[in-house]
Amino acid sequence: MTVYHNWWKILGVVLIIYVLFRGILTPLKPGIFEISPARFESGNEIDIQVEGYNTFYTKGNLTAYIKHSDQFLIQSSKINVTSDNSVNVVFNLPKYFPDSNKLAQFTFILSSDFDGTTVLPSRIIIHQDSIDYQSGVVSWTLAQKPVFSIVHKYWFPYRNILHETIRNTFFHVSLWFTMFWLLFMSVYFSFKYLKTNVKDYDLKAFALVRTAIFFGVLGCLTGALWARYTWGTWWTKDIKLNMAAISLLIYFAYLILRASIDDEDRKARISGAYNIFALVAVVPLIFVLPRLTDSLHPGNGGNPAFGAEDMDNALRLVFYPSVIGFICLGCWMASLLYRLDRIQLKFDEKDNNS
Amino acid sequence: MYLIDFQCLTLRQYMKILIALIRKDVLFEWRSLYQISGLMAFLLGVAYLIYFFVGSPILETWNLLFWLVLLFLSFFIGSRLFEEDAIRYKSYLHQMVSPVQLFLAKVIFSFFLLTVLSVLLFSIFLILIPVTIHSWFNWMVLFIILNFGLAVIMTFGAFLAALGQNRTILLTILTLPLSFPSFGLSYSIGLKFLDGNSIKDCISNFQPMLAIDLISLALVIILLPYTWKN
Repeated sequence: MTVYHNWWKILGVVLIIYVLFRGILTPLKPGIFEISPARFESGNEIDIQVEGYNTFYTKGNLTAYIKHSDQFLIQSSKINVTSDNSVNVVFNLPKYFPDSNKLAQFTFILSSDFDGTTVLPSRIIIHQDSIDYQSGVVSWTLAQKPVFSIVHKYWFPYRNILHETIRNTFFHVSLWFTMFWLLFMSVYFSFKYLKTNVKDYDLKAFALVRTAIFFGVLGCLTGALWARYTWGTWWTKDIKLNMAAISLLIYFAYLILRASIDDEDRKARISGAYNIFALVAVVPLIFVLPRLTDSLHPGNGGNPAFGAEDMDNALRLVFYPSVIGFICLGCWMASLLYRLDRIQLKFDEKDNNS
Repeated sequence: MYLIDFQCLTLRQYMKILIALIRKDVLFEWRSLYQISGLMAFLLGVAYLIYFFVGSPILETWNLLFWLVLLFLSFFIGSRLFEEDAIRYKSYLHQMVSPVQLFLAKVIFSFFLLTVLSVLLFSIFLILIPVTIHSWFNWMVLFIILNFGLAVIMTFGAFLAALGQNRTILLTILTLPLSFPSFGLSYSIGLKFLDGNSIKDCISNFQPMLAIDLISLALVIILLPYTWKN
């Protein structure tokens, strides 16, 4: 029992502390919280009230754009900064815009050389009375190329709806990852037990499953918290959520199965087999079925998974350490449980012998 | 360990033992026919109750009630699977045949029993609470695929539960979460069938069901010999 052998425990604790500090203290990227109003008639002069988040509008030069598709833009005619977080932008809307529909969605862009470029996609809706594509093209093409200033700082991406809860990625997602890691490890030990009949392996598998259930429950709780802020309720009928609940039920059944068998040897063998069966049942439940139907989770039901858009490098710098940290912590917890069980077993044997 | 060395069995001998085992189960069922007929009377009563209270329910309700009753039916079947063996000649049987053989026989038997009973239940439901089902063939395919997976999971669960105490409750706790995906999928397939869709429209729901069937069968066959040793 030297420090040399327990390096991973220290690593886990250090990583978790790092994640807590860096994950909570890093500011979000400046973003546009809301604009009002958002519906306009073409051909008018419009005044948009912009509410920013984490922004410093007083410090930089601002330019605002309304964008239709990749090449069609108009620039603001006047910008009136009222405070760091709010600004009034005035546009002269042309009579026509280049679209074959009378109603179209537009993206609002605000570029600042202090904050960088902030975007609110598809928020503005403009209506035109009649369609004239050609004059729309003419009036929506800028004379010179627009300048979108880019500022590099260490901050987390700003996403509408998510806002500050994006930090939950380090906890919610990592907790589930850890649960699966522990379950895979326990299946490995169950398999080894069935092969060799060494009692220690069974105790290890049991300890790992208990820790995994603990992490699963924590994952559920953090998920519920996240859902409350983003989707509006603690629990939804989202398929992935309910499949996760069923997976937890399967593992509760594992605990009950263990408790209901008296014979130690038989208990170990039966629960080992059930453990392997359970994981194989759980993997399609959580990874396959949600992909077939609609789901609110990323990567399911046509939603994008963690791509370059959602998972930028600033997040990764905290997310990966948090996964590793939680896995180390989980293994440590499981090893403590395992040692406790082993001592208990020794005591029981002593009692039986005397 | 066993009286016969199973490695040397030809396919024909293997099948012979399997058929004998299934025959034994069928015989037991036949001798205690009052249990099954009692169950069917109970199902008839439940269906009549639904007819009495709801009359002609909307399709969603019909579908839900049907699968719920079928769920209870399958749990009843599952809880009785190893009952007879446990009472009469467990150790004798365990020396005679290999675990996989016994398991396969039980799966095939419970599969047939479940299919027959679910078709019976379906007919009772249709007679008392008529809905347009569009095609019998579709429903038969659904019953066969569902019941195969259920038979595997139920037999495995019943086997594990037979080793513990408080068998019926343990069986329910063990198999309900495991059989949930199959039931969920067949609920949605049933709804689609009632809306007049064909099997082709539901192929994305059938695929995971088939996968569950095959994976659980393969897994149980691998795992079962380990749980057997005593």
